[in-house]
Amino acid sequence: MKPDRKARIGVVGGGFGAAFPWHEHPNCIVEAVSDLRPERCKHLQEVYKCDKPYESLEKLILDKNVDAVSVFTEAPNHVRHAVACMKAGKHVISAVPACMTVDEAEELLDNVKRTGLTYMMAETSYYHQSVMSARKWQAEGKFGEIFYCEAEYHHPGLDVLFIEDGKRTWRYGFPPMNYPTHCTSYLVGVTKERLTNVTCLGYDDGTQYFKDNDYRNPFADETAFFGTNKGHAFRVDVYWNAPVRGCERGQWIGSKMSFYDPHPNGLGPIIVRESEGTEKDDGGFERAVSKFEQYEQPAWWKTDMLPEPLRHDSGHGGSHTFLTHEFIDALVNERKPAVDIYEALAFTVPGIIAHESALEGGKQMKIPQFDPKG
Amino acid sequence: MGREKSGMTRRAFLRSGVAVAGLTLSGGASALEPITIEKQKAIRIGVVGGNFGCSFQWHEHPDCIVEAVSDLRPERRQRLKNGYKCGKSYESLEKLILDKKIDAVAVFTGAPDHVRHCIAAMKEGKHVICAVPAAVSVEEAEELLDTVKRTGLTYMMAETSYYRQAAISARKWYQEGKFGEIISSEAEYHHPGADKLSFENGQITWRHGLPPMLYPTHCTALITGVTGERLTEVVCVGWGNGEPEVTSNRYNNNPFWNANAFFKTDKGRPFRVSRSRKVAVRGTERGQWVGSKMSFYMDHPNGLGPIIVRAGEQIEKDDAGFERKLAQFEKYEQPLYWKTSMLPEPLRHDSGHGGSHTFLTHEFIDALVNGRKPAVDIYEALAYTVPGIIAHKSALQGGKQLKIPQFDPKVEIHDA
Repeated sequence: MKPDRKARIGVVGGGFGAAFPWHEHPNCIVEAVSDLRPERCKHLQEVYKCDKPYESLEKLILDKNVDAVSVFTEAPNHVRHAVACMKAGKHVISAVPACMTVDEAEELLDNVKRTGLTYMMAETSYYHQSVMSARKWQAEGKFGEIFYCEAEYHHPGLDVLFIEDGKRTWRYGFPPMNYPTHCTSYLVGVTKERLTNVTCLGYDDGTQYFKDNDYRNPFADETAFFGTNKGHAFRVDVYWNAPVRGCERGQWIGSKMSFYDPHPNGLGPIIVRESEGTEKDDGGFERAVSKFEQYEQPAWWKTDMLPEPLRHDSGHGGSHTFLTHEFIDALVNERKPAVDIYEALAFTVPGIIAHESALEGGKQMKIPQFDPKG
Repeated sequence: MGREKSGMTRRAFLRSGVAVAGLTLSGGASALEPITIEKQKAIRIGVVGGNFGCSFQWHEHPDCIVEAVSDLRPERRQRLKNGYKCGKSYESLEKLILDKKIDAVAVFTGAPDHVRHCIAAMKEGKHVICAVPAAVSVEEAEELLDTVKRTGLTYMMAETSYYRQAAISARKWYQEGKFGEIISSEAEYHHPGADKLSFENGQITWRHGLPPMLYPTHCTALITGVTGERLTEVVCVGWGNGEPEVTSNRYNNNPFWNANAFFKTDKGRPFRVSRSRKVAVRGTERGQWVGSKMSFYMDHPNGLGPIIVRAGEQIEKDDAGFERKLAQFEKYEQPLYWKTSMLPEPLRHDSGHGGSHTFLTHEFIDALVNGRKPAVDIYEALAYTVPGIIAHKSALQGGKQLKIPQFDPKVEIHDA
């Protein structure tokens, strides 16, 4: 595709799929939309001002005018749908997670490699404004070495999304660590290191949701501790039911500088820097007094990182416009998107193994790697 | 029932737990007739270690007399004498413990000497309160436990985090069921610039190259000291940068400045511990507990006070439009327990490490006076200390998951 060309996208999934500004991107045309439910299909038509609806993804992907498909369907269908699209010759941007099992990961990767098409995972945390700052500082060496990192996705009361119109949704009883990418991208998406082993523990909250779900998942909350290929540690929480305030956040602890995302208990973003000053702790022992400051988060979405029509705030920490642009720009310029298949699997698979670890009482497990050799 | 004893007053012996049978100690013998245990007037303590050892209130406690003090260095010895208004000093612990008037010894020496010093004191019939950590190897832990069991003397570890005011609150709430179940907990002891304590007057101190997880108790006390649960498994990842202190040191050339550990408890719950000696974070000893009904976050050095979060049913939307429940949160006004009748009147003042020093002082003396176990007895002390020893081993093996040995007494079922 040439830079003066436009990518013709088919948007599938009228829930979260309606939250991306494809129609505003100068190099994108929304060619068609689809959702199994007529009211959601209608919603997509209205949002994207598109008058070509299909009643299913399977029908939409037969449209020769469609270059690429945005797959915002239920998590358990992502691989089936993404593979179907690629088999029909369409580039794909998929909602998270990339896949649900290691077998699915292999199937997805095989199809991406075989077709040579562009695959991108729409991980919002990758473009949280604060994560963009962290990635920039990492590239500039500001952190020194990030030797420890934490991320948490707390969605207390996810059960309000378990039932819709009296029917169970795909979220009903969903294993927390099968939805790890909002967290894993905080480290993998910043330093590119890979998570190589994990121990994870789950909490059974005693509710019905975690006794009779399709995933045979007994856990409402999972806490994981990953080791990385650089010998670093990374703690991840994904909680559906706990007395905590909802958030997607992280903190990076470095040898020269540390950065803390805003905390929902009422603390803004904080930078802490190494310093030579000293103070005494309350036991009378001397220690270094690290300098700290409130970080004024730049709104990267206001800058020329985005095409002019997309320079507005958007969901998940200003990430939606970036995801939109990254996918379209990658297609137009025939380059890899930032969160390509390898990054997508490096964000997703560690959570799959973490959940397996939790099911085995926290047994430490190795995480399979999918990166190309060399 | 015959017993031998040495270097221990009858009063102290009785206080130490008379029920211990077959007790044998080296030295001279004297039989003891059964005597009704009465609350004793005053414990005579010998204080060893003229640095941190100066920061406890032995001289203020109504049931305690500072009988003697000791430090190898004359200037520190003098500091102890001044601080505790004590005219009797010894030039070493070894000499002090021979003093027959001394019931108990406060061992505030270098960490690698704790077990050696405690055992020496107990062998002379002295009760012991010891600075943290209790031990620096599993072998030491076993040796210490054996000696405590064999002598029947009182051993207490002076873990300050156990009596941080916030930890007292957390323990109270846990006991009252306010947290519900603890889903997960975390603790961190960050001491950036710890290398400032690695040298003193040009000489290397015991802190030089200290493996961070050999000093775990400020953290582990925040779960084990709150819920009583034991840490059974650990994965730990260390970090070092090849600087001289973490290349060549007395701790088998420990390579780590910092370490992060993930423990599993005997209830199957996660507990994350961060220990840092060289890092760009603000110094702190803190913890947080996520419960099924309530969560509690100790104050954070980045500028957030203590916070309680309670489960709420109100619905809000996240910034992508997805519904979730809005937990209620509030700033917690920390009560100052040290102002209350939990302490004898003269000790009702603020003290080091979050107001813990007066509590540690009182707990030890009160346990001795009433012939009861102190809160942080040998079993608790090892349950705080040994997990860190194993964590360090895990870090040395690249984060391998290791089981943690347990030292609690087997529960025996006795027929009525």
